[in-house]
Amino acid sequence: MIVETSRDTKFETFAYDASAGWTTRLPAHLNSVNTLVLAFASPRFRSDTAPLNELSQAFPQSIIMGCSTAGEIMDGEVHDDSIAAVAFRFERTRIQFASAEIRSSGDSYAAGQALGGDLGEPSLKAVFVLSTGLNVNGSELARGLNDALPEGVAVTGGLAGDGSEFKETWVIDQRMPATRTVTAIGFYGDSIRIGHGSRGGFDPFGPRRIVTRAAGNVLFELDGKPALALYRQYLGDRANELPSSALLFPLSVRTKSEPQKALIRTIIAIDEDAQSMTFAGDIPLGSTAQLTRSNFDRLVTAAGESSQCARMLHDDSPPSPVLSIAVSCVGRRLILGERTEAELEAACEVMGPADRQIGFYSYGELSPFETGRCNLHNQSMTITTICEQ
Amino acid sequence: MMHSLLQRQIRKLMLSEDAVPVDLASWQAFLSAVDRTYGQFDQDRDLLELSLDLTSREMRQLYDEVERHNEQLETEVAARTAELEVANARDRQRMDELENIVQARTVEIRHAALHDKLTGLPNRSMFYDRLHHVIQRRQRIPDLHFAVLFIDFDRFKAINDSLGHAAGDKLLRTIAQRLHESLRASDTICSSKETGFLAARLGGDEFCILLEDLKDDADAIAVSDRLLEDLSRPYVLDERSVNSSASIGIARSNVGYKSAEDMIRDADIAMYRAKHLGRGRVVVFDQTMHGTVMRKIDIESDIKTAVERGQFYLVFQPIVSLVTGRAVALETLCRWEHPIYGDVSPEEFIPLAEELGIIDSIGNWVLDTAIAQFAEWQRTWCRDRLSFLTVNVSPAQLTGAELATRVAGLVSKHDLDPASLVLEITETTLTRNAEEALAAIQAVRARGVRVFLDDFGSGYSSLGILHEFPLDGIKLDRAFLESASSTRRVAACIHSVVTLTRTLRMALIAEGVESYEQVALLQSLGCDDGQGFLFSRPMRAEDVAAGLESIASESRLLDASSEVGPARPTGGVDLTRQPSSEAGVNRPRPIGISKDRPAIQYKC
Repeated sequence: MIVETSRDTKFETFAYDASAGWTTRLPAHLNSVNTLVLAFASPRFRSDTAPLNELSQAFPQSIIMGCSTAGEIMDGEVHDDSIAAVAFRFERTRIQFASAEIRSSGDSYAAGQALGGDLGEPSLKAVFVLSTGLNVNGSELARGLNDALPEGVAVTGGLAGDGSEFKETWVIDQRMPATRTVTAIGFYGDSIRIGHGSRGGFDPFGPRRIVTRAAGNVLFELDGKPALALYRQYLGDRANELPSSALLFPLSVRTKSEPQKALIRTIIAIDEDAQSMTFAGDIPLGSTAQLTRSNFDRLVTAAGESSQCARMLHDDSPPSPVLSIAVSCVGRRLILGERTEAELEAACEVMGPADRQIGFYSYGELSPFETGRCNLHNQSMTITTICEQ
Repeated sequence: MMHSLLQRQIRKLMLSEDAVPVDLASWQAFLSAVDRTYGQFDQDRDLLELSLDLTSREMRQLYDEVERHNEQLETEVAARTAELEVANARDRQRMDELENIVQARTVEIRHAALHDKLTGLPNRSMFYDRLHHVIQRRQRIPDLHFAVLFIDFDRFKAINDSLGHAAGDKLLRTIAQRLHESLRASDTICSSKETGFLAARLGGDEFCILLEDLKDDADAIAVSDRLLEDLSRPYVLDERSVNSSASIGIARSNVGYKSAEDMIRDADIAMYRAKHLGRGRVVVFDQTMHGTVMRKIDIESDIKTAVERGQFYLVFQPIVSLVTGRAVALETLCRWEHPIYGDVSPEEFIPLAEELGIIDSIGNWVLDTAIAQFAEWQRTWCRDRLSFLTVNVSPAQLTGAELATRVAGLVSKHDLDPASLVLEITETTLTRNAEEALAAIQAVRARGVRVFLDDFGSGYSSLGILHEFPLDGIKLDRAFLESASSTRRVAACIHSVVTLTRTLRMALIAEGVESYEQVALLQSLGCDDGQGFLFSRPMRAEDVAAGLESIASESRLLDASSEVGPARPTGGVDLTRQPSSEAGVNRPRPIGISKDRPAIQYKC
């Protein structure tokens, strides 16, 4: 679909379906050095390379970014085995791509710093990040970016997904899937408008537990007992679906230094031998943890709020179509199941008629807390809105 | 209205609510979606129920744990509270004990501050305080009669010195006890309303009694008499019976005292008066005593600094040859000129100096000054005229070899021939500590200085002394001459002494020669030298030369008279003739005192 946003500015969303191929002709006319192509793809397209190759050929000069997902989002619907893509040609905004390697989660902070260092220029307004979803500590990545970038630069994005497999995630770097990489794009100049919003919709329940043994984002014990055993108990029959089924009970964590701020943490791996669980962000020792559970209505409402918040920035702008990038947690999809699209519809409801939604179900969301610095979120619906004036 | 989820499923599968699916695949896809949804709902339901169960259990467990914890806490708190209560009770008990100790100690300290440790009687501080209150009370109630009794135990110092401090302390305790008993008994003497009394020890052997609420002032005398009687009963100390008496001075409230100090001072003055009048007495203070006692107090205080302030001076009385009528020697005597009271009698200041223990320093000053003076005279004019100078030595100076060393030092210092110095020692001094006196005399004589026995015949003169002590001469006490004219027995005694001294080759000097009759008697008995007002009163140093000239000229008169009168053994003196005042024209001016010598054991 071609959207004429203004005389020169254009973006177009398009999709690929494993059984039906590209749903529309590829908008190759948007190809330019100042064009960003985003492609959120099913993990299968790492081996089934044809569609990504076609994309690369259609946009030879453009910057192509993308990642594997746990569900591709396009205009209120979620699909599997597909590619949701957008080509956005910027006229008055300069864009710049950067990538950094992450061999293990210990590299996360350094990778964040490297990206920030590459992109950090005075006219930088916003950064959109796509990171591999496993072997990364999203909290440290966000901290590295925050430390390297000046205040006021909005950093949003997400961690790649792998269905509910938690085996291999990848991002597109150098037009190829790369499993141990973080990519980012910087937006420069005064014409770019970036909005963002992030909401959860999970409520803590049951006893508060103290993190008695943990290292970085690896949790061993709560209240002196193995955390994995606790999850098994609560998951019942679904324990054999670990680690993905743990997404049903994400952990709410309050640190000792900021007890009023509760962060929701999603599990990304388990280790039966060590009886440990790896989360997408830090679980500080001594902090208070509590299981959370979803409430369908609240999940959906939160998605709408997130979209509202991101869209607010553009309300006073001239009527120009807005690209809304939804990064929603795989956990939400797992919980919502057949009702998943209700949250996408809720997010779409606040959009204008010419606005378009694209996005993916992720293993972690990056977005600032309200107007503060970027942070890793789990189990949230994070919306980033982009338009150029 | 159809469920939104079903609506979405129908829409997604491109079916219609209004038409049956045309193909089997669409129908199966729809059924599969609906089946998934049901399955999901079941799972959600199961999960919710499970988590609800687990959470409830966990919360219940937590609640139990909290309860258990609470119970444990309560038990611990109860146990700790009990412990604390025990500890508190212990602390309270300890506090009570400490408080009791502090109270007892405070009482002790207060008692100690206000009482005399030795006798347990109230001390000076308490006495002053009580007296002060009574004086103030009298200012409100003029009819109030009270008295202060100042008591001094007459022989305390002597007893303390001779029997030791332990005996002295015992004596003081006994006195205190008797005071108490006597005062209790006196309650009936005083026909007072309710006689209160307070006996206190002010220090040493001084006790004070405050008699309160007397019916009249006479009661104080009655109580005092009773006290005197009780205190004069013998005391048994170290299995020895000791007799003594007390002197009591009374100050009475009718004087209208404003301060305790004044009242005690006046009682003290009255006590001194009692002592002066002969001890064992009661004297009530009157204003006339004040001056007398103030003088005594001043003198007591001033004598301590009189030597260094140069208030002592020497006078010299010639010793005259009854054969030639010329002065052959001088006796040195000491006088004190007080800046306020003028000349103070040796009778007054010498016992005082002995009591205060400063007689030794005065004696040394006398020795030093006299030797220096005589040495100077010998160098200038008297070498051929005066053969020696006598100086009186006090008992305090007569201890071992010290005196000899000092005398030798002074003689050498002033370049005086030791043979021209004579030390006079009284009989009492010799007998007080015979061994030490003997050693001292021997040491002095070894240095070539002679020693005369002074006042021989005044006390219990023992001939034994004359052979026990190596003496060079005797001074015959004036008492012989005072009675010589009335009794022949005395003349015989003098004659015996003359004979004795000649036999023992000792010099003999008669003291107290005041008349020509006495001169004639002495001449007739063979006494060669005499001393007395007839020849000269003691003279200040500057008058000595002229005084001696006068005696020399009078000696002619003495010779002239020898032609008249009864037979005389040697030379001649008209014993019937009194010296006219004209005859004394050239005699030295009498000085200072009314008597030529004090009636005491030691003179200086």
